[in-house]
Amino acid sequence: MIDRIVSAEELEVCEEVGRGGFGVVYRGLIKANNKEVAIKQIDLENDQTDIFEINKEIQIISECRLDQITRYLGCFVKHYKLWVIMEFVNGGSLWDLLKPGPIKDERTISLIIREILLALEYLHSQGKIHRDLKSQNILLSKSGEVKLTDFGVSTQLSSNFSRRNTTVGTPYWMAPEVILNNNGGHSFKADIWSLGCCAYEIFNGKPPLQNQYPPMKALRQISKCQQDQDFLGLIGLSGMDISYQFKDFLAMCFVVDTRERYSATKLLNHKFITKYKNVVDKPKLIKRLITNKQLWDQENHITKSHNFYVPTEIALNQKKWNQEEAEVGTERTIQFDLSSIHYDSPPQTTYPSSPSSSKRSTTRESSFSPPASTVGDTEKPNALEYPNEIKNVTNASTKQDYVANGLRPDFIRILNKVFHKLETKNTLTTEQYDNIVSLNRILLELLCFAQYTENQEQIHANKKILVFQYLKYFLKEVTKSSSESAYHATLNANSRVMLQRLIIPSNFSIQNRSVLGAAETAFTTMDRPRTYSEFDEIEHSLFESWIDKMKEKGKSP
Amino acid sequence: MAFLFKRNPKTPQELVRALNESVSKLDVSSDNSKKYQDECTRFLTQVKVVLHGDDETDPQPDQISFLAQEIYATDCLYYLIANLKKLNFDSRKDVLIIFSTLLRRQIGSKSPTVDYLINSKPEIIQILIRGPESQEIGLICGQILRDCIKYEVINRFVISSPLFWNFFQYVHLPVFEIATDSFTTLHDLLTIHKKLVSEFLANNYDQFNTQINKLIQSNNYVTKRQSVRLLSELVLQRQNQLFLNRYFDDSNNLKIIMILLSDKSKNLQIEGFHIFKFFVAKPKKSQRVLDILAKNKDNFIEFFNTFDIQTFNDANLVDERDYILGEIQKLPEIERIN
Repeated sequence: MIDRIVSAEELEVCEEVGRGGFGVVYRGLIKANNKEVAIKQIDLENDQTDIFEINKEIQIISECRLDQITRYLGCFVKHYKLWVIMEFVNGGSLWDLLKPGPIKDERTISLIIREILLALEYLHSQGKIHRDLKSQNILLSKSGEVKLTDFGVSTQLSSNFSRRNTTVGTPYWMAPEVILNNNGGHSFKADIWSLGCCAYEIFNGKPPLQNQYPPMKALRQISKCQQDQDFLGLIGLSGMDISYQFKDFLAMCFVVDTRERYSATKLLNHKFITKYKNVVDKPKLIKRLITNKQLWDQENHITKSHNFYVPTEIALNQKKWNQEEAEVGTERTIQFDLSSIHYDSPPQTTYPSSPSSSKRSTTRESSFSPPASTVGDTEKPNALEYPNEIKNVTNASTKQDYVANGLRPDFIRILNKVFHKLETKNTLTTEQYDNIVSLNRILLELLCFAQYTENQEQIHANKKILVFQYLKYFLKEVTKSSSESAYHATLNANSRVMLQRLIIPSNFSIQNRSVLGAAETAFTTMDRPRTYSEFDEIEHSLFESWIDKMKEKGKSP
Repeated sequence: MAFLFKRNPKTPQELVRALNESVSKLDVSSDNSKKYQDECTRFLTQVKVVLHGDDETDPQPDQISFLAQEIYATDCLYYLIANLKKLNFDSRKDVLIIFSTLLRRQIGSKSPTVDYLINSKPEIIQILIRGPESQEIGLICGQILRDCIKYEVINRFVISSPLFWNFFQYVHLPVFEIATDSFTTLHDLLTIHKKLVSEFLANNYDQFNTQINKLIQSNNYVTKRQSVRLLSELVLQRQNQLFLNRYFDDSNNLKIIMILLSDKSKNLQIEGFHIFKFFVAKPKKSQRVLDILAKNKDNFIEFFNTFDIQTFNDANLVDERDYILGEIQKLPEIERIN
């Protein structure tokens, strides 16, 4: 047994293996015996971290001693950081291992699920609920172990009678009772539902509904399920190419009535689990997954991958989700205390995209990505993909395009965001939809340097990117004070004002926009700061009224 | 498998007696300790099943009542807590579950376990208070104790005990989770039963003030932050008026808080500000506090002009800062005081 680690002096910190809003996870070595550990450094100065919450998590993990749960090895404070030392699991998360493709071998699935069931049985017997069971939180080791991790949102029930009322978890893995939050809250059985989702995910590569719905819609779909058949139909269980036992196992996990849903102990005796219980080459099966992933990484030139979990951050995600909720424009709001999908920070691939944009793009995945796109190259299959030829265009250009390529991810992100906003706020016809898609594509194609024919030197002195120059001129033209043209025709000026109103965001004031001549604009533009802000409309109007108040105050001292 | 104890003990009474016997044997011989540990584990699991039922069976009220009576009559809880360290790792958590379940048991308006703890075996509570002294059982004891002090009588018992002051030492323990767990207990002890606490703080002002100030001046960032947070919470309690009057008249406290304001940590600065504002806003300030404030008037003005609170995104905070700044500007010039 490894002794507790109580100070940083006992450790050697190696490479980073995971990162999130909370801080960073490193691989480390215990100096005394060269054993590997995972070091999670939590930045306590970060205002998202609540010491009491962290303490709860540590309490829960420190009370768990089971081979199927990542072992807690100690923790201490160094400066403003809390170091939590955990057992290092060297094979990566199940989520990572699914990247090369889903696992179709039922033996392997059964073995992994069995280990997780053992962990759940242990937790549940102690009144603990994991509450965020998903493939990212299942780690595998090269020696064939399977371990449950990330107890960031887990909870301790004070008795078997008590229940929890907070809604936490990650959408696609959440049980209906957790989402609905009625009947006095949820209990252990919520983990069983999530386990079913994991099993489904292993076989299909994605948790149920992720291919069909964005997170919020999925939540609504899950919560609508009243009969077992509703959900099973939704995920098309009967059409899945799996054994009878596996089907039955999934059906037992996806029982809507929590009293009827099997417990971990009962599921351990399910035929799907017992059938393969005594398979001898178990470590080999797990090992094969890890080797597969390594080969896949090599083929796809991925040098850096996360092999530790990224903890779920409730606070951040809640914000993100509510935002999305607003954008989707739904009829009803759920009280959110959710943690969410956590996409690993974008790996070093050609088109990293922000978690939010990739999440949004899930919706249109099928329609938006051109058929023969660079699947192999895209780390995130659900990210908006741009066709191969574009890449080739830019790749063909000389190295000066390097700068332009550096701007690419951000530019793609912006285009994605604009597109999705447009799409969610309006009902687009197919033609419009396609036109916008091609507009985005053209814009992206123009993300290259302008060619100067006349002067070679100028290329170095004055690198200009076509698309940006285009946009700049466009904006310049639109925002140009139309006073000059006003001499020619008043009609012309008016239409220019109209254009400005239509094109320029309201919270975006243009310097010298004195066209309107009247005091109206003079007043707004002169002393209002230029706010290229992320203010939403409410904030903006609040801000406006605040400015007005300030002005009044200024007038009457 | 309606009841697990088909073999061995048949009734709840027998079960408790068997458990007691195994627990007592943990003490005696070390050779067979593993065997008795396992026995305890088994009996504890069975007790849990009687109390909670299992997948197939719901708990039976009459069985529970027999069990509880036997537990009180034989001081079973006492032996379990006293030997907690000798039980194996997972059994300790069963003790926690059993203890908590019994604690919540009510007969009419009475809580038999609470009565038992206060009237028959207060030693149990004393062992629990001293739990953090052992790394192995500190967390379990902490959780049980926090369950106990939800009952005002027990909370009163704990803060009246001289052992209560040990918590101010425990929060310094090098094992992080024990230290923070002790802090959680300390926090609960001083925030759950408001009236009780206001009485306590009024009667023990000096000792409490010395202790909390020591924590605020600790080198450990977490201890520092948690203790300032606790103080902030106490300060916001209207019931604690008597304590507050004394606290905010004490110029030494002001100094400690001013040091916090100049800490490198943003969070500590903000926490410090939330206490500092009361020194300034208090209508009748003591002369010594007033002197310090006036003497540092220019420093404060400069400090608050550069006080970076943007990152906290809190409109109230801005208002408060502006108000406090205004109040400071109204302070008399130093010459007039001298």
